[in-house]
Amino acid sequence: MNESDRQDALQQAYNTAKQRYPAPGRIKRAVLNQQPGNQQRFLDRAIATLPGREWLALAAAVGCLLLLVKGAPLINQPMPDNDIIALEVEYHGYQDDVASLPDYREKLTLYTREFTRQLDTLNVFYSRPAMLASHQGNWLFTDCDNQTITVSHELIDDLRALQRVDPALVEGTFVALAFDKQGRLIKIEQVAIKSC
Amino acid sequence: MGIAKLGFLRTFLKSETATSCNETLFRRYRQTGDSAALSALYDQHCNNLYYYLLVMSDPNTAADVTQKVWLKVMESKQDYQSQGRFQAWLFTIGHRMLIDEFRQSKRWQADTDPETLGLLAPVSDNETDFHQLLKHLPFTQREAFSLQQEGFSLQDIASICDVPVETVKTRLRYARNTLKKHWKTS
Repeated sequence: MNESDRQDALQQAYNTAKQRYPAPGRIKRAVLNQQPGNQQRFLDRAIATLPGREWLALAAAVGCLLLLVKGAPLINQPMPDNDIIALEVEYHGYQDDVASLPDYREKLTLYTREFTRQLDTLNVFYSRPAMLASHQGNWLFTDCDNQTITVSHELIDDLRALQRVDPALVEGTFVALAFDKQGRLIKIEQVAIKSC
Repeated sequence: MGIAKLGFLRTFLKSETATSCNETLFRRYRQTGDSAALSALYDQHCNNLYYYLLVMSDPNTAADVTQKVWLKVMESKQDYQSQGRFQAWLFTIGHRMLIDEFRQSKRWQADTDPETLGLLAPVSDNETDFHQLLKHLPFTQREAFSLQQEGFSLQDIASICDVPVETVKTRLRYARNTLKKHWKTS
């Protein structure tokens, strides 16, 4: 192996290791929640649509009340799409829950039980077609919009234990990713044809 | 076919416009406070910055410092001098905040001393986990190597770490020699 090959091997090893440790999603949520524009734009929009001054005081009072009661979920909504070239990676794993519950499998079991209960009224809340791009370490999927979806290997292991991952998946396989009502990944199954 | 075309387009756009895209996004964020621009910038750099900090510390510290770095970016957006070097600015803040974090938590010890070029801690001759192998390197060598893998030039690394270029070269040489000795490619 010459010097250049060795450098490439180190670079590749570094990049592979980096893929195994993506940034926890809670950091982004915390950062964007600190963005003053989030709260301010919501208020600006509300005030701009009021019909007149007579309603202003009443609406402001109602608005404040609503903000107190419902404001947090509104502010926490995902950012709307825009025309910016953004390289987005969606991540599914346990990092956000590390502090709150160390027993991940127990939590997934609870999620699954809740999901099974919901199956009585509807099969899958949300299913998303994608292609398995890589299954070394964290699994990488590419959806119809070419967005990368990363699934942690711990979650894959637990889904396997619950027989919620098709065992015959290989790279290039088209799959349907099933999510529950809260957007949690609960099943990965192979589909025969590309659904995009 | 659609996915392949989009993949090609994305790869092309990524390589051709990454730097100018950073500048455009940051200018837009600085001028308008646009959250979407900040979000896009975050998506482009979060994993690189987080992994650099993770290699240099532990998961909790890396997450805390990553968040603090982005809050600092928001707070200091008017201070940034646009020279096509947003990523270097971001990592410079990261480096300084990490050192501050170590000092505050009194973890600034021998192996985290910038002047240390100590020997590798005991490690298996056949290490298979590169992340763990990196952790065995002395702090300064680990940092120089990580920054180089993130695409920074010697001058950039010297600037981020606030040391002479020759010092960076020495640290990189030590780091690479050690990694080559212990990293067994399959």
